[in-house]
Amino acid sequence: MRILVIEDDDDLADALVRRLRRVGHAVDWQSDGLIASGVLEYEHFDLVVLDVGLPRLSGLDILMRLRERGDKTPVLMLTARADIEDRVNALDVGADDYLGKPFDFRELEARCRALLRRPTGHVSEITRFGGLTIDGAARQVTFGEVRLDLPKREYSLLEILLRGLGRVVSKEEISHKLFAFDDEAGPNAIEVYIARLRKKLDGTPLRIETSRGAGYILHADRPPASGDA
Amino acid sequence: MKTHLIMASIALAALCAVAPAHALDGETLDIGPAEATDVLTIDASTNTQVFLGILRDFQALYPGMRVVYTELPTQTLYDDALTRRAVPGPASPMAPESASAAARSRPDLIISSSMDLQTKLVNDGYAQPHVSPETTALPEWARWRNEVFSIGGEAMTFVYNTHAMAARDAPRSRQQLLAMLRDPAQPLQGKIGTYDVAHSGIGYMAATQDARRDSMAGALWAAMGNRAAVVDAYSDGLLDRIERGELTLGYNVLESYAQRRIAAGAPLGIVRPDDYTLVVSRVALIPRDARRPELARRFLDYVLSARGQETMQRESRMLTVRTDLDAKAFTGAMRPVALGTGLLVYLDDLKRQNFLQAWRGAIGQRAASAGH
Amino acid sequence: MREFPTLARWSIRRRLLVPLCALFIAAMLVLYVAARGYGRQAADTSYDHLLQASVLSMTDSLQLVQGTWHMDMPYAALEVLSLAANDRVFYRVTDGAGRVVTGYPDLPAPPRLTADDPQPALFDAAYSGELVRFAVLRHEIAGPEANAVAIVQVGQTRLARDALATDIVWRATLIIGILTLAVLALVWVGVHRSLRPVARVERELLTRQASALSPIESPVPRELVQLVAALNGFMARLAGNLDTLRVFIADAAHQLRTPLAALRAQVQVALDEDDPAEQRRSLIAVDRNAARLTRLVNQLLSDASVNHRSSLQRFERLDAVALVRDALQDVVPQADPHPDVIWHCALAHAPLQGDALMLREAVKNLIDNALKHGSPDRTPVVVTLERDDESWRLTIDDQGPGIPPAQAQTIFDRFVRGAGTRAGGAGLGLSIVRRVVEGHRGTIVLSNRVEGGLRVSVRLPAA
Repeated sequence: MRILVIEDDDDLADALVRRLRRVGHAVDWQSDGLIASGVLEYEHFDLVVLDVGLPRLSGLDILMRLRERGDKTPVLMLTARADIEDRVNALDVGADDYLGKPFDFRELEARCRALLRRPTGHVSEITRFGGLTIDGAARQVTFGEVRLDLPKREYSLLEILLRGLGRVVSKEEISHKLFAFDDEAGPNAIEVYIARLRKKLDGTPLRIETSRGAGYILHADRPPASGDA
Repeated sequence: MKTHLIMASIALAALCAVAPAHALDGETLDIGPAEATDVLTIDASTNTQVFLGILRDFQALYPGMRVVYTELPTQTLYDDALTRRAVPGPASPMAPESASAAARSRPDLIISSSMDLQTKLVNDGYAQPHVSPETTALPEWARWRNEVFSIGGEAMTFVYNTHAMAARDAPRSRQQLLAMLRDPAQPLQGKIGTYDVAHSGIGYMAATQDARRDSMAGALWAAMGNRAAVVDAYSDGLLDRIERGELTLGYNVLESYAQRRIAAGAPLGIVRPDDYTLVVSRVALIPRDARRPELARRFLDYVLSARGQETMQRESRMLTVRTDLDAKAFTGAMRPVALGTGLLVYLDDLKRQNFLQAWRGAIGQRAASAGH
Repeated sequence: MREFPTLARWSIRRRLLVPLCALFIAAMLVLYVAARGYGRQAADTSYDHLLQASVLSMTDSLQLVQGTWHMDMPYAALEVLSLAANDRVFYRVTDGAGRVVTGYPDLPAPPRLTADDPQPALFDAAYSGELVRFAVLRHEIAGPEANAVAIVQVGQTRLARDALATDIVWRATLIIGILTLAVLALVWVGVHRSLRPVARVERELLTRQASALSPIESPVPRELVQLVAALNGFMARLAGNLDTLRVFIADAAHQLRTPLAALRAQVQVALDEDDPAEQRRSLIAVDRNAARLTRLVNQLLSDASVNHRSSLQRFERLDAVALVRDALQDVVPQADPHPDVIWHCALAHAPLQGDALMLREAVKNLIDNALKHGSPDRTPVVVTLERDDESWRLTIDDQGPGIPPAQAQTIFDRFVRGAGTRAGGAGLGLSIVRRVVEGHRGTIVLSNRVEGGLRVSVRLPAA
């Protein structure tokens, strides 16, 4: 998914970005509040990790502007302050979640996952389609006993398509969510990833249908079932 | 004419028969165990018979005490007190005379009917104070300086022979007596008697009190003189004559004495004059030089107590001074003579001389020329 | 705690009551003495009138009969004296030759008598074992051959008049006594009620939370308005202090948490990372943040210690040269690559009075600042110590960006960082330095150098 990290501490931001990228997300980083707010105006992200203490424009102000625009992008706020008032304030202004520094990365990732889950309506990270099990936390797909070998990008692509289950997902949308500003993606990168993914999904209840000129649709033979078996 | 002359000479003789007072050998009562260590010595002017009942009752209360009660004339009581006193004190204007005083032991209590002489003793510093609940209960007129106390009252009354005078004829007031004395029918000619004021302490005091209270006192005495009044220095003497019939009426006679005789059957009647009835008191004081003053106090407290007063009334026929116990005792025409400095006035030599002169003039001179 | 004199500790009640009490007791004593005099006089006067009346009454009844005096004493002469119920009476009438006409012959002699005194003269003398008040009158009438003189003397013991005098005195004293008690009670009550507003304020303060520093609401009488205003001012300053402190703590916490978070994040990344190059990257970042934390903690501790020290004011004789050298030693890292710090000092000694720790911290802060912000490409920092009139001047020159004029003053405030500094320090340094310098009665001036860079100039008075 496409994530924007807004944090002015270099080392912390660096760690965040690297970690999230390792997982497979497309991560962009901004350290200036004002610029970050501008970016949010013209680019859509699936998740924003927002620090409160920023130069030029505070995290709360960025959030406020975001919400005033009606933008419902999930926001996870980070801060060094421990006041309950700050937390309540942030949540009231429109943050979806709040994490205090210093934090454990695992917790951060879990919260990110939770926030990314929301639009889909999934209540947990495990989704099943018949014998096909998709573990969002581990970022693994198993079919029956066999684990499907999916590199990061391919998994992310699957993730993107799953979000739009049953509807057309355009190439722009895929591209936007799959690649950050700095990522270099060739013109056919998406087709290549789609092809690879399609091959791996062969035989599973999921199949990718190409909608000429529009995009791609992920179909499921069976309705998804979430939770443990 | 001759009868009148005889009457007059008898009257004169009677007058002459009156001897100047001299010290009597005091009659003594000695009650109680002879070996008692507590000996109360009382010198009093009251007849021993009158006080016997009281002394007996007191003795019953304190059986271990011995009481020596000596009867003496009031003047003797006074004079003895003066002689006995060794410490410097005011020299009395009245010359002490009695020599026998030194021989007797000092009394612990002096009871006298001569209120003025007792008061003078107190004024001149011969008494010692005593305060107790009983003395505090006395009315104001009955004590002075907590040094002299009235222990019982005596009314000064008219006493008449019931054979010689019917009750309805007896005068009820001084005005009536005066009218009777002035009656041209002369019913009381040579038959009226009173105290020899010159020789009787109580008589003198009663007369001076009359002079104060009664505007007609002088006229009364003059009237008595006109009727050849007989004077006697002693109550008993006067009462004897009335009892015998020599006199019909006695003026200013002590009620208790008369009552005693009546109780013994004498044909006497008593009238308390209703214009005013003078009440004199027997007064007691504790001399400063008393040997056993605490015994005297005990006796005083007894006499002034309800029991003592009741005994006094019963045995001695005296009026109670505890008006707080018997409010009706001094109502009406009863006029108690109050203890205080006023009583000293008539003790003044010159005053006394003046008074006696006037009195003698009123009673004596006329008596001499009574027979015409 | 300073020992206040015991007097200053007295309660207001006591302050009012003690002098009042003393005043009233003194007044009572004075009044008692006066009342005694007056009482005796008044009692004497009233009873003297009776005594004189008695003498006059007796004199009236005197008659000269054939050359000798006769008196028919009126009853009233002694009766009038019975008003004094328990007093004994004595009297005497003598003629001109001293012969007693009547009465007590041994009465004490009167003082000189003048013939023309219409009123009986009064005097006291001992008689019959007591002090007796006498009135005496010399009465002269014309006789057949010569004038006849009679001296009438009446006396009465003093029981009644002494009782009256005492009564008067004690009544007066009693009234004063009651008045005193009433006044004292009134004062007590008055003070109590007057102090109610204080009690109210006290209650209000007692029930307050420790953090509630709002002004006192209770209405107070005029005398207390200033006190309450001072208290409110004090509380406001305290609140200000607390706010500053709170902000400081919040900011400090914030400052600390950020490098800690970075540290932790980088470590976790490094643990997950397989690529040694990436791991190395993370480790370098860890080291960097650890250093940041160290510096930050040092600064915070320095600030705290300076704060603490400044309230202790332990001044002693120091050598500025040695001090600056020590500071340089502490601050400038010795390991390579080490920054260039040039030390100029022509002096052998620079004695001054001061607190060694505080001054050292201040110098360290300044040099640290210069190194941090004023040496972007390892350009040298020049530290100079020289004499300037009555002071020592320490100058630190760097070739950094300097400070914008707009920030010249505010830069000294806590947590204000220069423009362009990012998460480098907590911004405590200069505020610490200013406090130390001011505490030593010195001055500090920041100026931009003509050739570029910042000049920090500190002057401290020489000893």
